[in-house]
Amino acid sequence: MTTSTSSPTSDERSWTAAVRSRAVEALPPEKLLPDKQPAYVASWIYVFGVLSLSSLVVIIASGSILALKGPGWWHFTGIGHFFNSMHLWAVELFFFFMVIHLWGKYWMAAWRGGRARVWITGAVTFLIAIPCALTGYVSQQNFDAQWISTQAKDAMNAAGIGSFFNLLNFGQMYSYHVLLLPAAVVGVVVAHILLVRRHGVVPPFDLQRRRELLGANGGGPADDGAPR
Amino acid sequence: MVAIRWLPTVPTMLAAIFDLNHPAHVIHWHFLQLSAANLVVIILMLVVFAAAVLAPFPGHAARGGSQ
Repeated sequence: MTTSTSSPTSDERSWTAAVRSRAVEALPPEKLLPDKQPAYVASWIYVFGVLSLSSLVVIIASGSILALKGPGWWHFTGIGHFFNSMHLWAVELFFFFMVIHLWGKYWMAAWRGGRARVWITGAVTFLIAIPCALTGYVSQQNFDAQWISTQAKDAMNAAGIGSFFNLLNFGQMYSYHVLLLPAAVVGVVVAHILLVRRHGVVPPFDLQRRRELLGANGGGPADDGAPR
Repeated sequence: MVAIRWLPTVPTMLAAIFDLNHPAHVIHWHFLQLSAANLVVIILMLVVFAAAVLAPFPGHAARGGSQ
């Protein structure tokens, strides 16, 4: 058994030390877990990101319980109905909050200040969450699921992607719904949050400065470097 | 299980208020076609978005906020 020494040479060779060094450099602890936020964050429009995240936690928790107990439980017992409904309504709220979060960030151009990857990961989360939710409809194990899957497979075939997966295959759709797509959503959401921590919450537009520039320019377009 | 006996009665009570035992109401206007339920959700999202932008945040003024 060999032991590592603390010499700089061994640190440079160690991939764990290199990863640690890069991680701490990218996200120092005070940025990763800040105890203060800028004053402009005190607005209701900044709340919808964390509301989306809270809904996602309820979705994962209620979905895990449904997966543990199975279709017989969620269709034929009172408590099963309750958790089934909780899972559905958490998804409804997740999309409700996520759309408002998306609108808010779109209108404040949240990709400003080197935040392009924050915007992209948010948009990708939204795109992955759609099939993640839709595969839930075909994983219910009831007539509703049969009807939806037989209708949806025609749409998928018409779009030319029906050869990659089969909506009539319950096992495949259930695997997509409880493992592959949720793992992708959670993975991209984690990346999104880490990027928000790294770059900080996007500030609102500086309207006062913009008014001054417009005034100084005689009402014409101001060359303030703002994106258009 | 005694504590959860009330749960199966909840859907029954809601069904008395919202009768879902019929095909969905559909709004059709030119090319636009969507269910009334989806339209209600979209209108709710617009209302909540406007409220989130306009409503004052508790404690913001006390912290010296300008808006």
